[in-house]
Amino acid sequence: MALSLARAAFNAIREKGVGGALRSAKEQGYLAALLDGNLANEKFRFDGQLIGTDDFGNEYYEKTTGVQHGRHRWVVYKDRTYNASSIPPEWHGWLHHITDRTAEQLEGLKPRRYGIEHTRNRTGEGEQYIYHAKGHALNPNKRDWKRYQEWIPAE
Amino acid sequence: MAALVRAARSKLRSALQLQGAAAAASELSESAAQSILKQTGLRSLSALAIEPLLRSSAGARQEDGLPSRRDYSTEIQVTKKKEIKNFTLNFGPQHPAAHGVLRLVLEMDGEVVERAEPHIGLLHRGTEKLIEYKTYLQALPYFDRLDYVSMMAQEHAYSLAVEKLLNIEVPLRAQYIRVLFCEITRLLNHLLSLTTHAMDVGALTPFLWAFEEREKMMEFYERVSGARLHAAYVRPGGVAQDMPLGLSEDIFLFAQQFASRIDEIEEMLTNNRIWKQRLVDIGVVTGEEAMDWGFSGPMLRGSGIKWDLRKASPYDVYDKLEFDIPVGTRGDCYDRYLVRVEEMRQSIRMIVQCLNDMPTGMIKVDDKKVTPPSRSQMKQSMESLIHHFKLYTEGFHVPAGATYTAVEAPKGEFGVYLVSDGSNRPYRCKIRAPGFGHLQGLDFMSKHHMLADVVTMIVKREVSYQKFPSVDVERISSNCRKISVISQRDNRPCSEIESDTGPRCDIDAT
Amino acid sequence: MLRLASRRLLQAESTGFRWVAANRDFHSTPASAAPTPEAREPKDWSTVLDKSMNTLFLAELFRGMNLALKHFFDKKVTINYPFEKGPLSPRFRGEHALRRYATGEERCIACKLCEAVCPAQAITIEAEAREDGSRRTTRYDIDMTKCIYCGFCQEACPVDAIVEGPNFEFVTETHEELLYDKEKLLQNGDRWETEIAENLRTEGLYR
Repeated sequence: MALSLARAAFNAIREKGVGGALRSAKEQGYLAALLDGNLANEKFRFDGQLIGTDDFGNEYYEKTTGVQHGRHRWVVYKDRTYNASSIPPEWHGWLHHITDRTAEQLEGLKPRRYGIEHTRNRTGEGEQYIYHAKGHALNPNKRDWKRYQEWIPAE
Repeated sequence: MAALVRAARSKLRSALQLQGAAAAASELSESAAQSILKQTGLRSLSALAIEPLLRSSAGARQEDGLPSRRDYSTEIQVTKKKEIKNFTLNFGPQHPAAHGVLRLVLEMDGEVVERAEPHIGLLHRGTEKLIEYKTYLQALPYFDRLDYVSMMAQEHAYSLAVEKLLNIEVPLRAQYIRVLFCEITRLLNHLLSLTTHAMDVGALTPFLWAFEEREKMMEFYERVSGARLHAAYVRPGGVAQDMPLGLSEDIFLFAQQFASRIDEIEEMLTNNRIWKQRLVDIGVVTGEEAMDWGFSGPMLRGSGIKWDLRKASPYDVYDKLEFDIPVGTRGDCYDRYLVRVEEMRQSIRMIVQCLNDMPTGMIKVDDKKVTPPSRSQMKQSMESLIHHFKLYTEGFHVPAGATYTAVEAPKGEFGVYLVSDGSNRPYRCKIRAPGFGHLQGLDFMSKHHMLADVVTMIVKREVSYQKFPSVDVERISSNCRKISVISQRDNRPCSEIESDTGPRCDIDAT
Repeated sequence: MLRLASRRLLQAESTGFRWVAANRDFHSTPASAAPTPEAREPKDWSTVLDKSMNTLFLAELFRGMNLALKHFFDKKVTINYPFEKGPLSPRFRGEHALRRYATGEERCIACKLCEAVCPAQAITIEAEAREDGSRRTTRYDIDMTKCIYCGFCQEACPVDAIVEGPNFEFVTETHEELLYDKEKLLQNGDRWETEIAENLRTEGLYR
């Protein structure tokens, strides 16, 4: 890791100069990672192969050889708070080693007509972010309460 | 100085109370105490306490300042006659070393335990009563949760009991899968039991190593059943699903390396002098005591009794497997530790044999009145669909009868006494938890041991983690044992042969 | 299962049943109970020397510490959780979801099998005929705090509507957030369908 880190830093400085390299390091979150051991552990792994990026900007890496068992797939979160629930389902299985199929290969299984965007678990972030069940005072649908919702076939 | 005076006063007061002259203490003013201190000079506080005590008790007669040397043996005798009660200590239900929520009321003489009164604490959860209101399938998840480190062994006992009442034979592959996972469960349990024990005694390292192995085994659980802990995998009539492809190989790879993991744990503990000082000759149970108190499992075998249900009345494919039963010689905690270590080695042997001998074939009884049909069948055939609906609403009906079926769970004999009245729900389900009998014996075992040894014994007794399903387990199970022996031999419903005289069981059944 | 008579038998023949579990070398305290094999064991000079050397130089303690040191330099086994995740299988029983057909029509036909089989009675269903005459649930609530994740509901479901998905990161700070209603469950299904479908496809062989 140290060697690859030094090489990457050297390359960046050679390309952009010291100031430019520092600025880009800050933009890409490398400076923040210096203060966070967990983040640094992943951020400074340069030897992985980028497998894909999801809609939220999380990057998925893999390194199949010469790596500790169970650590061969990892994600670099876009979000600095690295919420584990922000992994969308098309990558969730890949990251959890359930399947070897990546999001591109699972594209066919994605529901075209009714699928909704993945959201991370937002509990504790405020009343407006969490789901309130039907009948709850904060559920917006409580006024137009219907016994059932009719099905409108999608196109 | 003021603190010293306060200390002197409080000590004085307590000494006076001991003599029954509390009134005198209140009369003693600050100045009086200071004068005492001046008079006594450099004397120790204890001398300080005794002297005014004598002075005030004899104060009426002796007014002249300094106490003279006199014979005060008569006053001392008064204090000697007072009986001092032993200190009573509540150990748990929230004590960190009392894993689970066990409660012990310890009567202490200093640091020595004079009497230990075990309470089941918060462990009673009404499982048996709940089971009476569930169908036979719904009752299954309760068995995972009785003791959450030997899940499948308990499911196995329950499933065997139901199968015995149904009088069905489980396919061979299912039997092998069950035994395979029962032995994995044994490893899970023993690893936790041994290493948390080591942790309580002061060695943290083996604990961390063992949890790496436990993690692997819980992944096997997860791959086969979908849950890492509460599997609900062993079902009446077989197992829930077939093992996924590749799992056998991974279990084999695991079993290959596991022996050296045991070696490592042993290297850390077995010969370690601290470990031996804490375990050797602690909590000695003689073979007779072990039987009298209804011990089972490693508690019994640690005391030299050669008794293991896997050998004595083999269920599923245990009679096809080759394994040895380790037996201790002294019945102390150290022997029980060695027995457990050896049992783990034997479990690996059995796991490898199961993997090698496992045939292909069905994993459930091909009786759709008992086990649900596969999904493709259910979606194609009307009859299967009806079966499916019947099984998941009403459940299956079990012919009237009673059985006591026991398995050798990692902690000992785990038995299920199941009474059926012919309906779809158990009429009665009595659970014999091994830890309950072990808990009872804690009193005689911990007598005259130090408090710290009680922790050692609790873990070795494996009362930890054991949720007691009901209070009067021991009483019932002693009645049921007779039935079990007969029914396991003859393999017919017990109701027919209950009038038989006594158990026809000789000890050398192995 | 030991009768009294056989107990006496055992006592008489107790030595016959005893079996040394493992070697208990350099065990120093005298035996409290019956004489044990190692107590009778003859001692020669080399064993005596070995034992005293062990005792004097803390041999077994150093061996243990040596092993611990070896493990210290060994490969680590921990994973860095939110970035690397532990392996799961397609059978994993996590957060519930209600699925739909490809057209967007909900699968659940309100047969109430899951409600009937649920051992924890965590599922509540109310059903009614819809305008087009098909039977659908008007209410499908799962109390996730009651649920024991046994997976019986997904086994019972004849149309693969209710499934226990692969998500386990649904912790909440309040109880009410875990009282799932039909809308929430359908949302879960809409969100997780890609992975649920993939897992069911993999598991098709065993179901």
